[in-house]
Amino acid sequence: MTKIKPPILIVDDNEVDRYILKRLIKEAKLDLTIFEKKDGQEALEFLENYESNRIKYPDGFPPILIFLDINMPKVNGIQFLEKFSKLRKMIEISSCVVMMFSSSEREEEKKIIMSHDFVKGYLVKGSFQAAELKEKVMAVIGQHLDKYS
Amino acid sequence: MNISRKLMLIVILTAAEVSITVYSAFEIAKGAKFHQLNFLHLKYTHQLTKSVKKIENDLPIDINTIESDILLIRQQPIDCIEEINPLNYAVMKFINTEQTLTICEKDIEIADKTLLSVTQYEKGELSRADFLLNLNVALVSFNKHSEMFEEPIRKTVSFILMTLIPLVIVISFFNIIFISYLSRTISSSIRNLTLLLSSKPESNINLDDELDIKTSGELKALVIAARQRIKNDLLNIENSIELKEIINSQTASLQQANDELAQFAYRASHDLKSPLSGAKSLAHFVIEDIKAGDTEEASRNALVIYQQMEKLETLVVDILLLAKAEIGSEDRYVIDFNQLIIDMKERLTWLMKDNPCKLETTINLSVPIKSEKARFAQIIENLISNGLKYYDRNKDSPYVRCNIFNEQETFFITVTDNGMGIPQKHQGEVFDMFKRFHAQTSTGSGLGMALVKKHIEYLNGEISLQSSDKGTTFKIVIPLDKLI
Repeated sequence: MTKIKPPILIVDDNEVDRYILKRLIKEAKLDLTIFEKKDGQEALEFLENYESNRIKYPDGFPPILIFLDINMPKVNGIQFLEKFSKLRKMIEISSCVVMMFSSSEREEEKKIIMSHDFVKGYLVKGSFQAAELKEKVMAVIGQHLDKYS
Repeated sequence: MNISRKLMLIVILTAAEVSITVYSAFEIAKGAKFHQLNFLHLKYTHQLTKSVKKIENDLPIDINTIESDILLIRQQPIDCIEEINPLNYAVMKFINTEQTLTICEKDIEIADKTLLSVTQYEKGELSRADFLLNLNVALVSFNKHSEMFEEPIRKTVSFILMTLIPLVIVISFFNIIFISYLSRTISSSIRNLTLLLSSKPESNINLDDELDIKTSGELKALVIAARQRIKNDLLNIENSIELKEIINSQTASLQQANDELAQFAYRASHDLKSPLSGAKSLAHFVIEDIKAGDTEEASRNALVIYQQMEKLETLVVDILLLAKAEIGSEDRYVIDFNQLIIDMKERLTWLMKDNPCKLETTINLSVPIKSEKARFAQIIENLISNGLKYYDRNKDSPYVRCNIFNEQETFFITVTDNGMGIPQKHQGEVFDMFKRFHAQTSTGSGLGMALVKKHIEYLNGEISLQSSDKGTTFKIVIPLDKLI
């Protein structure tokens, strides 16, 4: 039995930030399939093409965790969460949860964001190391990892 | 005539009427008194006659009774003279009845003579017969005086009645008519004023003039005072309303400025923090990679750090420029736009190199433009660099055209491109801070257009844009008088 890497999605317009997150995942020795999208619009389209993507990535779709930035063009993080919560009711991605990944720590934004029950964490860019990332990711998707291993 | 004078006149007329009436009553009463005195005179004369009769019948002479009778008779003419005042005398003289006084005086004279006879008789200087004769002569005179007295008194009293009563009646009539007239004029002027004031506003545009013409005296003073008071009150109300409006608009603009500042601070700190924390993480990776001997990855990340730092530098420079745009400078010289374009092209080498987009500039100025060169350099560079960045790869000959020219009193800058255009829904946000509409191709700070807007506002100019998928045109209009 070949080991299947659990799929995750990184949604961030900043290439450097995406690189940093990927590298921290690698350092943490989390063996994941990583999808990247540059804004909320692209991410939503990726999730909405559920059927075709299931065929395209038989073992890697849908992602079980989304790392989500807030400040993005077109559809920002907060707008994405609104649309994603509706999308969850329509397609089978209810097991997919979100971890915020942003440099913003605005209280009023945080309140709105954390009101979604599928948002499981809030990482502030540049404030954490690989070990901490591993701990948080494991807490959220631990049971999935069991399933995939 | 003002109201108080009219009222005073009414009072004077009424007082005159009343005093004449009272005077007449007194005078008529005086006439009655004269009749009464005459009656008493007759009565005492009659008493004396009885005493004289007794003497004639050889009865003893009662000297005391006779003397007291004469004294009583003498008293009425005295009273009569005392009653007549100078005014009565004048009236009597006017109607020829002044003989009344002569009669009285004569009566007193005779009474005095008779009293002398009484004394003489007592002393025996006068015989009984002579005494009796004197008494009889006196009696005749007394009776005669009483008769003569009646006529002039009646005449005087009837004269007073005939003259004063009609006079009183005439004055009363006049008074009634005059008082009615005055009260009517008073109430009608008040009524007119009320009508004038309660008329509809549109029917009297020149109310002030109407009031001036139609009112006088105290009413005019009242209207002027009331008008002044109302004006002041209205002015106060207007002032307080104006003040409130000023406060409201200032509060609103302060609130807006505050919100903008908060937004700016948030966005600026976010955009400053993002490359910094990125660089920090990357620097950490570089250290680890060098330790692990992966110099290739290390040098790649070092380059990214360099780029991040460049981005940060651009942002800080733009923030400083934006802050400076609010402040005027004395550095005003005639601007050489040709040189300005040459310098700009040099700065944009990085963008123009390998860029298929063609930049065309025309300068057509009939007057020298004197202003702060830095503002124009930033305006033109931002607009042109945006055009160069967002050219449309699908179009055959992409271009950016910049025209700088003047027409009469106005200075123009137009920048036209056939690039990808700005989506309709974002056109309202073009000049907002930190707005970027082309995520993939975006390299700037997001402050460029906000900076352009600030400069143009400072120069009292206006900027407008037209954009579609065929391209974008920015048009800047600045009044020339600010640039000379």
